[in-house]
Amino acid sequence: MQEDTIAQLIDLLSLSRLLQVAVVLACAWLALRIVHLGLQQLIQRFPRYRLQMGQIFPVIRIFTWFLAIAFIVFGIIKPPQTIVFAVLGSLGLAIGLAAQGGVRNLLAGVMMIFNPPFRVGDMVHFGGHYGEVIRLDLSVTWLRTLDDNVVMVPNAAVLDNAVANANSGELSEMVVVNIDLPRAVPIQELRALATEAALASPYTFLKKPVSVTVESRYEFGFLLRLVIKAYVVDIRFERLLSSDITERFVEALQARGLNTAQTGSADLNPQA
Amino acid sequence: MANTRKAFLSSVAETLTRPYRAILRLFGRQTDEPAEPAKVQADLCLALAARPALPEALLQPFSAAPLAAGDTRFIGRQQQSDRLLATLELWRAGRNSMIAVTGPQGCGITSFLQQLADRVGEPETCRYVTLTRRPYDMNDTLALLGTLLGCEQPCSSLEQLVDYLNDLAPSVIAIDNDHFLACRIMGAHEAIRVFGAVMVATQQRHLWLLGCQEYAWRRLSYVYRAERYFSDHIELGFFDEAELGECLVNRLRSSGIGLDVANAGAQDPITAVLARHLSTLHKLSNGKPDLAFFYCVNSLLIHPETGQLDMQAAVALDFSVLKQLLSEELFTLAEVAAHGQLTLADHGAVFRVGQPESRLLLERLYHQCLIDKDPSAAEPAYRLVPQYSDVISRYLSNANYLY
Repeated sequence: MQEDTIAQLIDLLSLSRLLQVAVVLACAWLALRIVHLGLQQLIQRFPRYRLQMGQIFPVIRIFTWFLAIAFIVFGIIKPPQTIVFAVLGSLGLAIGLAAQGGVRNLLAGVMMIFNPPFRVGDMVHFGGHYGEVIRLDLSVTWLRTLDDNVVMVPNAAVLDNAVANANSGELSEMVVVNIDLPRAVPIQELRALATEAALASPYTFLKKPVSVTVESRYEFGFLLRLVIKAYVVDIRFERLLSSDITERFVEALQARGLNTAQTGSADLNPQA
Repeated sequence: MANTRKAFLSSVAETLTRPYRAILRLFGRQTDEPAEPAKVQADLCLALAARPALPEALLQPFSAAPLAAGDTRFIGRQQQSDRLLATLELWRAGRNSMIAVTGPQGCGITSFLQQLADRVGEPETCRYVTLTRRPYDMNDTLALLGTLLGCEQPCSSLEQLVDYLNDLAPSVIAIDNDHFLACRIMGAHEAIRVFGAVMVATQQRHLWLLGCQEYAWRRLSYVYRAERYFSDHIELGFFDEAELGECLVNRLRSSGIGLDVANAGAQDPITAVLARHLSTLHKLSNGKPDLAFFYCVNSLLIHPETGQLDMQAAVALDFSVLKQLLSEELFTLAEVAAHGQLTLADHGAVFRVGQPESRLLLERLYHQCLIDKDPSAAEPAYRLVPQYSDVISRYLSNANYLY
């Protein structure tokens, strides 16, 4: 029985069929290249919609390959039922055995297509890394971190860990700047200064609100922490905004001659 | 927004059909559409420097300068004018009111405000004043407003200026160029708040009318919720095709030159010559008057032998230089667009850079003919080239630098 199945399989893979398969695969690849180039052109022309357009391609790619493979199997090879059942059985066994590792990543990738926790262009905390999603593959996701490293995160991480998405498909995202000050500072004046520093930055997205709150904390002594929350106009300028607000605020303090000996520990907290 | 969406959809359709047409051409098949004509585009700087070969009397009416009260070249805006007069009546009846007149740069806000003097009538006087500079703090605002509104003694406090204004006879006060208030410089927030406080505190006595460019108004609304303080917000737009046609005919007629046109038939000669190109002019200029004038005078020609007026196809301007700009240059352009104009010091304060760097950036954009220097300002102030401002603003908006 097993030998019959193998013989049938060899019969099915004739040279002409293999050529047809190659042509279909080449056509699918070519079609994807054309769609990719077309989308790149549109992105260049309408940068404002780059996130929306960027998220289309991974879906198109999966469906194109899915259709190509379905056409190859049922349109070209046309295997008899016995072989279909044999292959499906083997696949089932492989999926069952490989619940971990590659297939697990693949399954997570398929899940992410139908229920995407993020899209290309989003700023996310994923698999212990924070950065911009630059590419979504079936089994891995590529992030560009703030240090300009490209990190490959297995998609299976989405099944095990929480994913934090800072902008969820929008170009603007919230940036939080924390500035620690000694307790004996004029709070009201400094809060107004911090607000003004955030509003004055050319990278602040003014359509969304700027807020400044004050927290009390202890770190080798009692401190006041100013928490400045502002939205950046484009996720690409997240770091610039954070630095710009801090610089403006510190400069304004210096210009007013305020005593801020312990000032200056500004840090970015993109999860807030 | 609708234009951006339309352009986006047409571009999507174009991108999707392009590979299909390319494949057809590859196999020697003709597509249904005619071949695209070769695009001839004019360089921005050369276009600005070019001088049309037309008599001065014909060029004069196409000046883009604002139209004074009663100028017969002012057309349209009837709906907006009626709305403004209706608010004026309500204010006279006792409803405290402030009006904002906004629109894209070059749509004719100044001309619209200047026509008011004729329309307001008794018993109030209409006082039209223009902000000539940016106020940077409270004292600066008090001094600027005091000077503009005829206060002989310098006002040292907000209350003093409010008292002075409340002692004046009721009037309609139109303040133009309010884009100077949309300022991203540290300290300027106080100036804007004082400006607003003076208007709000005296709105029972005076009807305040603010003329402000669109993007500056948006910023004032985002940051200070300015729209909440104004009972009426009148938006001016660019001309539609019919209005643009009327405007161009009006300008040509006001030249006073007897124009003869070949093949005009029974039609008015000026209308006949424009009718053939009006749609193209409107499409190229998006209805922006000064850009339409620019295209129009560069397309008009008078045959040296017959003396007949004719018009050739307008050559589109080449704005591809915008695509070469870096993000810092695009940010600079966006801030120039939103502020109306920026001096070197302003630019340095907004971007926190030294004067040499500001000069380098601004002069580079100046020599690319994207911005020009305002000759009337005391210190060099850079603004978008008026004719190109709409195209530049739309590009910046599409690229997410201006909103």
